[in-house]
Amino acid sequence: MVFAMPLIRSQSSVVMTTEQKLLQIKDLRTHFFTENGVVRAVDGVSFDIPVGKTLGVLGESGCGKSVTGFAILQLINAPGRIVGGEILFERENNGRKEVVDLLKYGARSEDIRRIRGNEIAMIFQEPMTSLDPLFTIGDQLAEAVLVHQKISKRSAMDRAAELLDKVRLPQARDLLTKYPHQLSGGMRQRVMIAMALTGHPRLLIADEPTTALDVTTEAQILDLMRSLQEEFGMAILFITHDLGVIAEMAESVVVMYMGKIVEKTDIQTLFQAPKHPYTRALLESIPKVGHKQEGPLHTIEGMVPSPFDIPRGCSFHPRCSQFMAGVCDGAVPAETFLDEAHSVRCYLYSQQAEGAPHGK
Amino acid sequence: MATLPNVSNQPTAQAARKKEDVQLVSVRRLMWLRFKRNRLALYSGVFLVLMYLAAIFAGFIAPNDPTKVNGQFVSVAPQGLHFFDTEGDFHLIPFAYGLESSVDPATFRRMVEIVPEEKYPLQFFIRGPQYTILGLIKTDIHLFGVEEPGQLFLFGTDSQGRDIFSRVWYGAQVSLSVGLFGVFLTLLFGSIIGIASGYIGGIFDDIVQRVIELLMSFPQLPLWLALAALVPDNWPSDRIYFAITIVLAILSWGALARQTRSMVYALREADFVTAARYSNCSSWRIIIRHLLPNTMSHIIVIATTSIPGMILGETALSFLGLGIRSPLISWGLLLTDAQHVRVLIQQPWILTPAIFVIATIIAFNFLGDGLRDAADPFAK
Amino acid sequence: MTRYIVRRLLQFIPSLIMIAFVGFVIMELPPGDYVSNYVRGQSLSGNRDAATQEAVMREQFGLDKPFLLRFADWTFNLIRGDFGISLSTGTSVRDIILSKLGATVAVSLTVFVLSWGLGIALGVYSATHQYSKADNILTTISFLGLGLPDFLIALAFLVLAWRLNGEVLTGLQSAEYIGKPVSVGLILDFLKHLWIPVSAVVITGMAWVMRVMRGNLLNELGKNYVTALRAKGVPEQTIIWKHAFRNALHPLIGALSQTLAFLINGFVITSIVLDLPTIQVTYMTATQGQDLYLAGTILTLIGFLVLLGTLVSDFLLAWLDPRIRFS
Repeated sequence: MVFAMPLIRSQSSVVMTTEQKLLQIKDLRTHFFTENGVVRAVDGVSFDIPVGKTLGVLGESGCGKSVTGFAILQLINAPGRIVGGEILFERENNGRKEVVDLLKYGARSEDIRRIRGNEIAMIFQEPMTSLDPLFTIGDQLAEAVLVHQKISKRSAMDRAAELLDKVRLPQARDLLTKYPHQLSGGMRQRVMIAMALTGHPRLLIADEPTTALDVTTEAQILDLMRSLQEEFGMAILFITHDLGVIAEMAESVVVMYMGKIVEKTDIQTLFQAPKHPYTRALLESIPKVGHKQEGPLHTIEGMVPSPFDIPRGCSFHPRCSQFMAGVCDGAVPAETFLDEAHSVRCYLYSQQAEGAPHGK
Repeated sequence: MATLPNVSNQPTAQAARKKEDVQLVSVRRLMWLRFKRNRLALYSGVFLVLMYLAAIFAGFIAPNDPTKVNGQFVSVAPQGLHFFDTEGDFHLIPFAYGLESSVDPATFRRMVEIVPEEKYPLQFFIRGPQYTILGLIKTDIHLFGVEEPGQLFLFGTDSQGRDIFSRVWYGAQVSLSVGLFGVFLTLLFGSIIGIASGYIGGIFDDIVQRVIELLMSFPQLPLWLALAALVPDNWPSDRIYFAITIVLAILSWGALARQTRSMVYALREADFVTAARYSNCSSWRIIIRHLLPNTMSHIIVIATTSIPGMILGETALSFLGLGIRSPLISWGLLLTDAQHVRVLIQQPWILTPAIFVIATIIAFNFLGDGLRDAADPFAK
Repeated sequence: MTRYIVRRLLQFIPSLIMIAFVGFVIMELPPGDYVSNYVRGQSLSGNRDAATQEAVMREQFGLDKPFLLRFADWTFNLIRGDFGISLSTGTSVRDIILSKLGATVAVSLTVFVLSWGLGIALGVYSATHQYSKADNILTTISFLGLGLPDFLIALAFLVLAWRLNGEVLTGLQSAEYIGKPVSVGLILDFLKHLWIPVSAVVITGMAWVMRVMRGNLLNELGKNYVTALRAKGVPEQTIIWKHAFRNALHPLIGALSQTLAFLINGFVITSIVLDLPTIQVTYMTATQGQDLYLAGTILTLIGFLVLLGTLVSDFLLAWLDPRIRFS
């Protein structure tokens, strides 16, 4: 994946103040209890999503980023289970703001059902299989509307047409009577976005929404998402493995590896001054336009370890170029704040282990 | 932009690589591993292997000659082995009571009673009626039995006084093999035609599909009945045996051919087939080296799951008197007497072979299920 | 649309003729025919004179004409609604079939409704309560049902019923109720007989439907669109019944094609064993006795129902699945 130095979203770092936090994830742990052992897919993840801004979650396959997204709406299926943590969400009830812990709601509860598709919406990676093949687009959009609002079927259909317009799909009325298999992948993803908008969500969770699309369509979808964000003032949690996409969409980024967050910062710092060896290796491995490539492309040594056999201490240590024996393979490093908006989890920047008493 | 030092030969990375124990596992081994996990299928497999072994060694296991007619012991209820005798004494080695057959002078009905004083202890590796194993080895040693003139009728006797227990094991030979032969024929015919039809396509495919459609729209059982009724009464029983297997296979090859054809049809468009075609592989080579291995596991699964149908078919036909004839024995034939409800009610032990049929079919079902799961080791 | 239906129906005709033809051929294959069987049977029971009547009988039944001519005759008569006569009783084939139709359909319909109704309901329950105790029990039952041949279960039930109340419950009615007007007693007696074949066949039939339904529904519930529906906030029950269930029905609809034919061609052996007054039994005896026109007509009827069933199932499938409709 070659790209020019990315046009970074915002030139200023985002200052997170308490009033602006829409969602606060604290120490989220989601484990999968399989017959071969326990997979700690998300193991102590904490970050905040500010109101109306885009937070990117970056990581390789299997790092737990998607599971984090699913956990917010309690969409984790057996054998997975959320085993710990809090997800504080600022709900708006007739102008009144109220902070609730989403994890207190059961996965099948009315409470979480009312939030899904309403205040928090989600779009997924595979637009080709995300729609029921037996119902028309209109029916499925209307369903999204009618689940949360008691209006007539006709009004729901009108709203559906409006939404299709919003996502820039031509001939909305015609589209309402079509079936999913008659639409292309890009069109289906737009329909998914339209469905996500029905409840005027304050947060949109996007789990690799453009991974399955070609680059041209991808660019259009990303563009659409940006303008919708401006129009609706919604926050976006953008989960992806693609550095180029993150550069285009996110204002701040969280980098995940093997279930933990290794670095948290704003987008500019991420590309210009990454601190964690993993982040740096990621950026190093991308070929750059304009730079003459000497020798083979850089890769990150080794392979992602088996989820049943996570390395001790810092889980990246077997692949780290700056591994310190005796330190990195001991205890898990604590999250260290380099400044207000930038944190790393690495012994290069602090001696503190996770859970150890302060001041060492 | 900060750069990292050259990382290629750092000790940690190499150590990490050494620690990883990457094994290349063949697809076949993957299938076996997956199959093993399915306990039910595994036990069923073991059970079936034991059954087939028992069938091969039927003569060894059966204490009596299955065709020996005992006029005086007609329709006797199961005579088991006893540990306790009529006086309540315990015997370490179980025994069978002697039987006395007499005719009731008033009703002229034959009655069989036990003679408590005569006890025939169970013996192992006893000499009995001669038999052959697989037509090769002649011997007369039986696994167990009692000495003459004691009689051991563990499952009772039928209307002609023949020992049902022994007949069940001999019947296994026919019932279990008919399924295998029938399926073998089906496999041979069905898969070749199916693969050819799917690969060659065109008019050949169309014709074959029409024929199969016609065959399958034909009501199955009536066709079986009609075909079985066709087999002349006066043929020797082993020729009848083969005729029956052919009858059973005639109806099932269509389904297999259809499934194989659709698999091949899908594979035809697969990239690796196109690649093979461009590499100048002959059609024949493509079929044998590429299409066949890919469809083989599915074909085997389909075949295994049709065995119960065949066994049931043979049982049904023989049960109705249209299948295996004497002196050959099959479980279906053994159940013929059960057709007459009055008889069945008086002598329910006649239904015992049914348990074997049922157990075998269920075992094959579990096995087929396990195979089907294992055949696609990459499925979720 | 009507043109399509008409076209499909017209396509039946060559297939039907082919089926009837094959049926007749198969029946003609064994040496001799109805008359020679009859004569043989008669001479075995001591009536030697029958042999002299042979030629006359043949001519009477039209069995002396060449095969193709007979077949052509019968086919033409078929179109006019005349199905020929049964050689053994002399009654018209149509009358025989009509007289048995009531009982046959009664039993078959009951079996069908129960098998599919129970099968679907239990299958859905099984899938939505995966690995629960109930699910494990149901799965075991379905394995048993799949393995056990229905006629053996029927026999076992028969013996059981006899053990319980000393009555031999073959057939559909006890002797005292045959031909009598409908009364409560008659209906109760009918039900008493009916439960044996029905429960035996339903156990095996339901097992299959339940397993397929369970498998399909589990499959659907694991698909992406279900997760997307949950993320929309759609209630779980709606997801199961409005969405996943409809998708899961798909493969079962294909199996429905066999159902129409099943009405007169199902559970043949059980019918024979329990001596039920159904068409299945009539067909068996006709085939074995080479009662040409009776057997041939029933065979063609079965074939017709198979083809019709395929048509109906194709339509249902297209109605259910828009992807097929538009291809």
